[in-house]
Order: sequence, then structure tokens, then C-alpha cells
Amino acid sequence: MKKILPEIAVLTICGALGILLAMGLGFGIFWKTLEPIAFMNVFAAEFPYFILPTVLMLQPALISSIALFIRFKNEKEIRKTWLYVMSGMIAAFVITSAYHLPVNLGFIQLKYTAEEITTLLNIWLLLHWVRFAAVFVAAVFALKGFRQINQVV
Amino acid sequence: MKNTISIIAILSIGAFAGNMINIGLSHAMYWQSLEPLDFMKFFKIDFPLLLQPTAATLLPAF
Repeated sequence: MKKILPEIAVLTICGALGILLAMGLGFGIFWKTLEPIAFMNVFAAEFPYFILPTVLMLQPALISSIALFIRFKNEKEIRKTWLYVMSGMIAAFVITSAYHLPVNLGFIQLKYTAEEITTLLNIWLLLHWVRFAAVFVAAVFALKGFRQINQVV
Repeated sequence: MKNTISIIAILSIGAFAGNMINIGLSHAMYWQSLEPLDFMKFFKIDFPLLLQPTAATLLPAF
């Protein structure tokens, strides 16, 4: 159990990184090529399919990083590393919950005008790369944390 | 240097796995919901977009 949790953390954080990269480079570029209303229709059809892989990776990544931060409360260096990991994952989670999720739901309900869509999509993509950067930093620190744990346990 | 290569290898293998999960659970499930001909039309658009993230994760992993 001691070793499984750091493994789950590293795997799911790196997996989340891959999913975010695929979303940004795959879907993101495609969406930008579409007319605003056409984009909203495509998005409404595709969005339900994004949820499963995203939740499957982001949720265990977030939970495991918090769990490891709490678990190593007596190991100052390890705790510090997992604090960075946890902060990156929380930042990604907050950005997703505060911006992406409500805007996504708006896209599904087809409730925006063409002008609004263009602005919202640009911000969507910008914040997407911000959350990607946060998860990337978390992934690098997760690898460091994984090695620190292996040296102690 | 060794450390950096190890980090790049692990990150990109993990990210590649995430990319594959994304293709399997997101794209493929959407494709299956389409009619065969619609799927083929959509795949023509979708395929080039899948290449970039796949190459960006698979190449450094390899």
C-alpha cells in the first residue's frame, strides 16, 4: 500500500497530462477552425465523451496527491514536494471547475451568441494551457516525490 | 542529464498512456455513436488532429 499510492499518483498525473495535451492539440486546434455556431454544435455532441477519461485521470491524481501530502506530514522534504504536486493539481481542478465546466455546460445548451463563443473559446484555450502547465509542474514534482518516498520507505 | 532523461521518459510514457485512454474512451466512443459513413467523414477530419499529441508523447517516450 505504501508504494501503490505514489505509483497511482505518478501514473494518473502523467495520464492527465496526456489527456490535456490531446485536448489542446487535438480538439482545441480543430475547434478554432470551425465557425462559432458550428463549433458549439460539435462541442455539444462531443463533450459527454470527454468526461470519462478526464475524470478517470484527474480525480485519482488529485486525491492521491492530497493523500500523500497528508501521509508524509512528518517528513519535511517529502511533504514539501507533495505540497507542490498537490498545489498544481488543485490549481488545475479549480480552473476546470470555475471556468471550463460552466462554459462547457453553456456550450452544450447552445446558449451563447457567435461573438460570445469566439471570446469564450479563446479564454477556454488559454486557461486550458494554464491548467496543462500546472499539471506538468505537478508531474515533475510527483516524480521527485516518488523517488524521495522510495529512499525512505 | 541522466535524471532529466529519466524524467522525460516517465512523463512522456505516462502522457502517451493518457493520450491512448483519451482516444479509446473519448474519440472511439464518439466514433461508435456515428453512422459508418458519417464516421468515415469525421475520421478524415479527426485523424490529423490525433497525430500531433500522439507524436508529441510517443516520440520522446520512444
